[in-house]
Amino acid sequence: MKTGTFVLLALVMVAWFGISGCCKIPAYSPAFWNDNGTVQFNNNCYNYGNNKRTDTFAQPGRRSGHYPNPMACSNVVAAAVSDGIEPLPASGVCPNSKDKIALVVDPGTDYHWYRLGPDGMWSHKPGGTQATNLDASNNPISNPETANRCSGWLCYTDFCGYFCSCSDDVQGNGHENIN
Amino acid sequence: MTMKNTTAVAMITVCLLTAAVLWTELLPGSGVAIAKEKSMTVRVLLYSGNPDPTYELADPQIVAKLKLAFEGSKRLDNFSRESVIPAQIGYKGILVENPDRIEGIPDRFAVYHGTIQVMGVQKQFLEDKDEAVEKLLMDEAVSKGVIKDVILKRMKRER
Repeated sequence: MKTGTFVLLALVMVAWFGISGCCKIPAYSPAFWNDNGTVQFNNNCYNYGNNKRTDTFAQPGRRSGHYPNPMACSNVVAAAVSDGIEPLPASGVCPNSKDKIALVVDPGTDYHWYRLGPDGMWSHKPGGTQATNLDASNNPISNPETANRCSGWLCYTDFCGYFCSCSDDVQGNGHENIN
Repeated sequence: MTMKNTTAVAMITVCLLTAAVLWTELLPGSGVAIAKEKSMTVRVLLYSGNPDPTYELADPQIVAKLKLAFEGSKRLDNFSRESVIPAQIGYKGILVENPDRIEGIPDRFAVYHGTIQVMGVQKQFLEDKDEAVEKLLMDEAVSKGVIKDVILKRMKRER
């Protein structure tokens, strides 16, 4: 291989990884998120689902100006997609080692995200509280579609679907551009 | 300088000083610090995704009631959990920040279902007798209109 070609290839690879990063699936490791301080109170389910700490209580569509209104599956989906989050392909498997995440909505009120770990179990972070791998009945979450999603005056009855997020195995270092 | 002139100069000086004080008090952005009412930030930990309902608390009567509640609260040395805030969806307590350091109120605390958690270096758990602190802060949230109607209806249904 000529030196020029090699350098060009190296530059392309550096640019590619610099932009997209290498997607990895994060383990359930709640200590990073459950600091009882800045990280816990300023990062919500969207941050946790995408494994990205922003300290801004990230909102789907805030970066792109597509804030979901009214609060309904279709609007949150559009907002998240405008952030670069991809709907799960028909194969049911996220490509390029992206992490599978799930969206649910309490119509007219709020939305919530879950993320899949490498062990096949799901976890979530309900707003400013701690990240957990339990549902509202204190059961481990093997399927967010059937998990108990109702407690404390909120009930996320609408299951909106699965999506793919370019995450990282380092907690808080996801590669999606959310804010 | 005669006595009359001295009095006139003194009166003019007083008038100018008064005008200067009024000017700085009334004109926003005058660059002079204006005494601000001390307040706390109260956040109802409710949502998973959306920003939580939040309000500023400065009402002296409510603050006095809070102080009274803290004065009489019993320390819970055997509280078994790490935090009073449960890791669950939906309502999970109220978080209060006291950046102005109003006397008699902790700098930061959370309250949920009968227990107050004083956060930071002074970390400790206190009894919220009859859930008085939580009710006071929640009632204020409702009266300030920061809780959505749909949530209020659900709250009423459960009570």
